[in-house]
Amino acid sequence: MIWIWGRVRELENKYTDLKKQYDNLMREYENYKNITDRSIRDYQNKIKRLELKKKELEKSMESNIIEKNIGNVYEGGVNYATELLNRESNRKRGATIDYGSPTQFPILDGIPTSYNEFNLRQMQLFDIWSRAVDIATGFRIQFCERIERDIGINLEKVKNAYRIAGDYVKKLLYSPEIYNLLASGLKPTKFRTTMYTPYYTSYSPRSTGDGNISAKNIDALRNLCNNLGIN
Amino acid sequence: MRLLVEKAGPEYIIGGGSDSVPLHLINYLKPKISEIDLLGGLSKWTEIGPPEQGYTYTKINNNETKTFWSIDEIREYLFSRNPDIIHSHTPGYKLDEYNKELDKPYIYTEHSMSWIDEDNYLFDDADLITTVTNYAAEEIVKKNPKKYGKKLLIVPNSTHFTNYRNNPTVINLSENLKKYYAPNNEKIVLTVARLQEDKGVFELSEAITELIEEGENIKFVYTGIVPDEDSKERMLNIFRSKNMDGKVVFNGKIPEGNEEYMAALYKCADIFALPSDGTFENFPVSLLEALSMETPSVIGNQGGPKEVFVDQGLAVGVVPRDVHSIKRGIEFIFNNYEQEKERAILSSRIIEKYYHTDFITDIWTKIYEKLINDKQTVLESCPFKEVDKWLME
Repeated sequence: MIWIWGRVRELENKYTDLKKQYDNLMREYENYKNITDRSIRDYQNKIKRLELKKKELEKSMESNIIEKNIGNVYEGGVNYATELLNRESNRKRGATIDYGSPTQFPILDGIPTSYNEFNLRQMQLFDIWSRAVDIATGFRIQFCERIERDIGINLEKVKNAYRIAGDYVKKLLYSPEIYNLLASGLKPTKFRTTMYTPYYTSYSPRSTGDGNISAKNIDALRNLCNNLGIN
Repeated sequence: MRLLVEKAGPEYIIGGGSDSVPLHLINYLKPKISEIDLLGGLSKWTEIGPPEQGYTYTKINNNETKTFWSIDEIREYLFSRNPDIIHSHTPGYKLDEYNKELDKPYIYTEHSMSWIDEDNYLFDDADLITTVTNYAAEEIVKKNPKKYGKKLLIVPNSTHFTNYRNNPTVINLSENLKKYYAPNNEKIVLTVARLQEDKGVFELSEAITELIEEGENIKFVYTGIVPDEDSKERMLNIFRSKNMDGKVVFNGKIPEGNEEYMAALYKCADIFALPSDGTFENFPVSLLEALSMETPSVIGNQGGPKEVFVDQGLAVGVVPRDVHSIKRGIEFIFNNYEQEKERAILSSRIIEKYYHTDFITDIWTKIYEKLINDKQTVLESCPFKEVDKWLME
C-alpha cells in the first residue's frame, strides 16, 4: 500500500522532472530563437551587401553585355562558316579538329544571346542547380514547420529568410564570376547554331568585268509593256 | 487541303529570302487554301539545338503558335498534324527525313545560289524542285540532268509592294523621310541588304564617296541586318576617312511587319543600288520591292538578277562589286533621270501584273492541287522550265 506521503513525494519528483524538461525546452527554444534571429539578420545583411555589389557589377557591365550579346546573335553565322571551312580543310589534311574556345558571355536576366550548345549546357546546369537549391530550402522550411507544430511558435520570418536566401543562391549561378568558373570546366562545343545563313568568306565574285554598265534601250521595255498589254 | 510551309527562321522572324518569301506567300494563300501550317526555326543550322526563339509551329488560320525546344517534340507534333502537302523553303537534313517519312507530296524551293552545291539530298528526295530563276534552274539541272531535269519548275519570287504605291500614309511618310534624310536636297541612294561582302555594300560606299568628291550632292542610306560591329565600322570608316560622316545614314534591320515604313523608304530614295556578286543572290526581293515603288535601280549584272532585271530592261546592270562600274551606273541614272524614272514606272507595272504575290500564289495553288491529285503523272510530265504549259495540261 502506498502512503499518501509517498504519493506526494512521487508527484513532487514528477513535477521536478517535468520542470527540468520544461526548462531544458525553454533554453533550447531561446537558443534556437537567438540562432534563427541572428541568421535572419546575417542573411538580410548579406543579401543587402550582395545586392549592392550586384547592382554595381550590372551597372558597370550592362552596356558592354548588351552590345556583346546583340553581336553574338549574328556572330554565330560567321563562326559557323569559319568552322565549316576549318573542318573541311582539316579533314582534307587528316588533322585533328580544334574547335577553338568559347567566347560567349553569360545570359543575364532577360538579355538574349545567340543560342548554342554551350548556352544550353549552362542552362541545363542552372536547372540542376535550381532544383538542388529548391530541395535544400524545402528541407529547411519543413524543419521550421515541425518546430512550429511541436512548440507552437511562428517561424514565418525564418521561412521567408530561407526562401529569399534560396532565390539569391540560385541567381548566383548567373554571375559572370561563377559563369567563367563553369566555362573553364566545360569543353568547347562542336557546333554553334544560328538562324542566319553563314557567309562563306572564301567565295570570290562569280563574274569579272571591265567596268561597263548594261542598260537596255528603254524602247525595248516600252514594246515589252505594249505586248503584255500594260500601259 | 492542309498545306505545311517550312521556313528557316522561327515564326514571323525574317532572316533572309527563305523567310520573307514564304511569309508573303502565306498572306495571299490564306483565302485560297483551307488550312495552312507554318513550321519555322528547324533548318540544317539549328538541328543541333533550337534557335533563340525555339522551333515554332503556327496554325495560320487559328493564329495559334506552339514553341518547342527539342527536335523530337516538334517531330511528334508535326506527325500528329498530318499535312496533305509539304512546301519547304529551307534546307535541313532532319527536315528532309521527316518530310520523306510523312510520305506526302513534297516540294522543295531553292532560294540561294550557294546552297545548290550542298542540297543534293533535297533534290533527290523532293517530289518537285522549284527555284526562282532560270539561271539557278540550269545550275541545278547540270548536277544531274536526267533526274533533276524531270522534276524542276521555275516559279519566280513575288511582292505585294505595288499595293503601297499610291497609299497616302506611305506617300506622306516618304515625304517626311526625304525631308529628314536629305535636308539639303541631297539625292538619296538607298541599299537594303545584309552588311556582308557578297552584297557589294562596301564597294557601293566607295563609289558614293568618289561621286561626292566629284561634286555630286548625295546621301547614302543603308538598311539591313548587321552581322557584326566590324562590318559596320568598316563601312562607316569609308565615309569617315574622307570626312563625309554626314553623308551616310546607318539604319539597322527594319522590324518585321513594318511594311509601310519599308515602302516609304524605297519611295523616298532617288536610286536603289544592290551591286551583289551572286554568292547567294538568286532573285533579290528587295530589288522587286524598290522597283514596285518606282525607284530607279542598279543591280549586279550576273546570274539570276541579270536574267530577271537587266536582260528584261527593268534595272541598270553594273559589274558586281566593281567600284568604277557602280559609279558609272549611278551617274548614268542621274544623267538620264527622266528616262530611268520611266523605266522604273514601267517595271512597277510589269511587277504589278506578273510578279504580284496574288498572281504567283494562284500558280502555287494550282501546283499544289495538281500534285495532290495526281503525283505520279505530275512526276512523269513535269518539264524543266515551262511552268505555264505545265499548268495548262
